[in-house]
Amino acid sequence: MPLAVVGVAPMQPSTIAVGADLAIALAACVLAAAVLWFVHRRRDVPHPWTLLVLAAFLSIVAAEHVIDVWRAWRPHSAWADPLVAITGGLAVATALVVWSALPTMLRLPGAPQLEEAERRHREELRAQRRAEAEMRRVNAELETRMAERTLELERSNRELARSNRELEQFAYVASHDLREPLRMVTSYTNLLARRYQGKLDATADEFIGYALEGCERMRQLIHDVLEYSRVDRQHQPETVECEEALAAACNDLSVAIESSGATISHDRLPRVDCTRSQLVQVLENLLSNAIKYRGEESPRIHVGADERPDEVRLFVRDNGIGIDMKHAERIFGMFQRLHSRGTYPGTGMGLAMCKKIVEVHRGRIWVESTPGEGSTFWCAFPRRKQET
Amino acid sequence: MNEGDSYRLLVVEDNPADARLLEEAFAEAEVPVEIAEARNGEDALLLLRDGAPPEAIILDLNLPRMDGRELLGEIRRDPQLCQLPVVVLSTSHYDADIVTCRELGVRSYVIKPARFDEFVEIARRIGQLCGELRP
Repeated sequence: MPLAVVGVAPMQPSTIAVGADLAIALAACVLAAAVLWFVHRRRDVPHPWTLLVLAAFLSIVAAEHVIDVWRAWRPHSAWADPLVAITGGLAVATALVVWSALPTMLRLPGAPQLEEAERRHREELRAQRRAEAEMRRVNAELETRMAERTLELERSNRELARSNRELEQFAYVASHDLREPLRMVTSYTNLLARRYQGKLDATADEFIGYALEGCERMRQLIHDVLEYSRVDRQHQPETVECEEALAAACNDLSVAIESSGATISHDRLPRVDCTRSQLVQVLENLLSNAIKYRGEESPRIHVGADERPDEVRLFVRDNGIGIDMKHAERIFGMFQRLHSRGTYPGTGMGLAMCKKIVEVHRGRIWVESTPGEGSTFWCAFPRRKQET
Repeated sequence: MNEGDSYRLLVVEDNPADARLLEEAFAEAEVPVEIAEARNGEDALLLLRDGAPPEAIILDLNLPRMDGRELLGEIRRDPQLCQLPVVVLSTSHYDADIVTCRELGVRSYVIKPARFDEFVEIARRIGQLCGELRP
């Protein structure tokens, strides 16, 4: 049959073929819509563009089959061929894209792998939760133990403070109450001496003398212990000019300074944070010791300072008899004496008092000395926080 | 020296040793005194209200039953006794006691000394005070 005849007489399309084409086009459209819907809903799906290309391909297939139906009716339509060419090109492009994405897609985990991963993930989560619970438990235990330790520390601190207060109270009450009977002994011994001295024999006078001496020593001791027990109570630190405190101490000691021929020099002295009267007392005790424990020459005493970033150090240097450094700690104890009372009088409370005063102000006291050459007593007073 | 020349004193002191010491101090100071003693404030008040009032009272502060501060208050409230000169002789160093006694109009506040010599000096001064108060 000549071709022209074919071109002229339109071919009768097969109903089955047209129906099949329409069914395939519809199915491809539905599939493409389903893929698009899937990509739209599952934003987390890997390589969404692959699926989009697939949707495009399915649309092309649908278009192809619609074109087929069209061609069945109009085999010589002018735009049918370019349309087929475009769909063919798109199909090849889709195939290429999908093919190139294949290795990536192959690497996508399958259902059993995903299940395994999920199982492992769940296990890890469980382990993590267990670890967290354990950590919380250990933390709680630590906190409880810390709280217990803190409580214990607070308790022992309170206990210590209480026992310190009690000790001070005891020292105060004891020394205060001891004064009364001592006053009685002193008064009557004094009365005996006044009325009977020289009227009995010489031994009686000697005995009365010893009794009076004992009374005076006891009075001094009680006075010193009382003062020692009051250090905490009188603690009212302020910024004190050391030079003023030194002048006050020298004034109190003027008789001793004059009679010993002592010379006292000083550098420019700083301010320290201390209770004024207590700083005067520390300086007075140190100066009085420097005069008392003098050497052959008349006492030369120098008071100076060393200003550090965190503390102010004062020193009192003398040219006295000095101290063997093995006693450097001992001399700051209560009632500690290195010499007999006959050689150097005193209660042995002076340096203990200095130590207590300095320590109440959170400071330190120490001595540097060479026997026969002299001693240097150092007091370090910490600076107040805002000044550093 | 006859009895009439002696200063009549009331010593209110719970400690007999202290009362005796004061007596000895007056003797040492050669101040003629006639001393009545009371061991607490209540007894002192009875003595003051019943008998002839003394020329001066020497008063300790810490006493049993009625202490020296209460006794001072009673004396100042009593129109018969309020003009009596009182010298406080106490061991108390407390400012509060010194202020209270000053407010209650005591002539002198003396802290008990340790040395007998100082007791004698106090006795001499009390003697002087009594002398000045005599018409």
